[in-house]
Amino acid sequence: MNEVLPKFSTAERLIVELLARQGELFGLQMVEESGGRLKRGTVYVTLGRMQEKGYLESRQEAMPEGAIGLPRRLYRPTGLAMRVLAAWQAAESSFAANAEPQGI
Amino acid sequence: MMPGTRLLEFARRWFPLSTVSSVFEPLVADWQRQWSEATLAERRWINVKGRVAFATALMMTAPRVALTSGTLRARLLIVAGTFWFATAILLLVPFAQEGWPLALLWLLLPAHLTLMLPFAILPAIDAMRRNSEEPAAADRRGAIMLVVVAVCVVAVGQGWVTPAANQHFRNEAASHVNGHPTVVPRGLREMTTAELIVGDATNTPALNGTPRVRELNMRLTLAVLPALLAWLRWRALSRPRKRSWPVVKSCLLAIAATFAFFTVMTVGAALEPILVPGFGPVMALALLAATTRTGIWWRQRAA
Repeated sequence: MNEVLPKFSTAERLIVELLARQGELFGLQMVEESGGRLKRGTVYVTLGRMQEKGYLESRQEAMPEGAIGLPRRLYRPTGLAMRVLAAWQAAESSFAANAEPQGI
Repeated sequence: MMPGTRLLEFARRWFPLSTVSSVFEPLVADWQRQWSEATLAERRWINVKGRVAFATALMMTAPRVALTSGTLRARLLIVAGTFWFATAILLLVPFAQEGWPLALLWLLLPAHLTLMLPFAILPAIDAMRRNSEEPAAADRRGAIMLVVVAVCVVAVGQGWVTPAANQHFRNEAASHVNGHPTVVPRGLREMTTAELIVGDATNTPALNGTPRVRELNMRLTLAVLPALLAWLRWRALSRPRKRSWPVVKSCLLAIAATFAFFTVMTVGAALEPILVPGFGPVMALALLAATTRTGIWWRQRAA
């Protein structure tokens, strides 16, 4: 097998990491959870693009009682995104381990 | 009405359904929920942040959508708008090269926008007519509405907005150079159209006479130009032609029309002393209309 490991952009990686930790999140929750690293104006464009790439799945929330407005969209990572994240994390830890200075 | 509803309607009108459901609907849904759960004091700030987020998403999505999906008509209309703004901003470059501060350059933008709007009409008309030799009634109505709006924008822009912005620029520029607040006396271009017709200009001997008539004719010419160019383009598209009319060709035509207009303006200015003083711009307009119309007639006859 000679497949190239897909790359995440910085925002994509952050989103997958957040979702891997939290399970399902709304777009605005991701902005809040990221501590300012994700921006409200760009996160939805990134989420849409990640859905096209097959990294995310989404569903509409069940409207809470008394809630008004449009139903919100909840995002969760696909198996592909989790595998790519795991592969990059493994590659990074392996690189970090090999890069540690060897004692005499 | 919940916040973001109108913006979402706008997005539904101009963007593919897939983009609306994957980008704009989730954005507005989160915004609306945040707004509904906030206190009255917080709501204003939430609305500001929601609008900024929507505008950012719009700017990030529009170029991709314009170039990859949507109808060609929508793409051409986006191109017409982009052509308008891009050429108006390009005209600022010579002033930027002279070293004027950016804050001052924006004051010249109203003049450039009103100057370039008539030429942006050409790609817009192409967008409406590109697929039909026989235009639909809706296309005709749309074109008329577009022309009326363009004529009004140019008339108001040339007549009131540009003179005010120009004078502000002159005062600020003089203050910048002198190092202290300076008020520069207004010239003809810094007077509103009403002042040129019945006000200050008619009472000032230095400003009255041929220059005043020329300035009024210049404003009239620019105000009529969107209607004239739209009519000429509409007529040209009514002849049998190839169906395909790429976006780039539309923009090149608009650029060519801009150069043609300024060339005939120079010819009009040269003819003015021999013919009717002050009427150079109007003669230029007539010359442009006559030559283009003859060209269309000649090609129709040859076909």
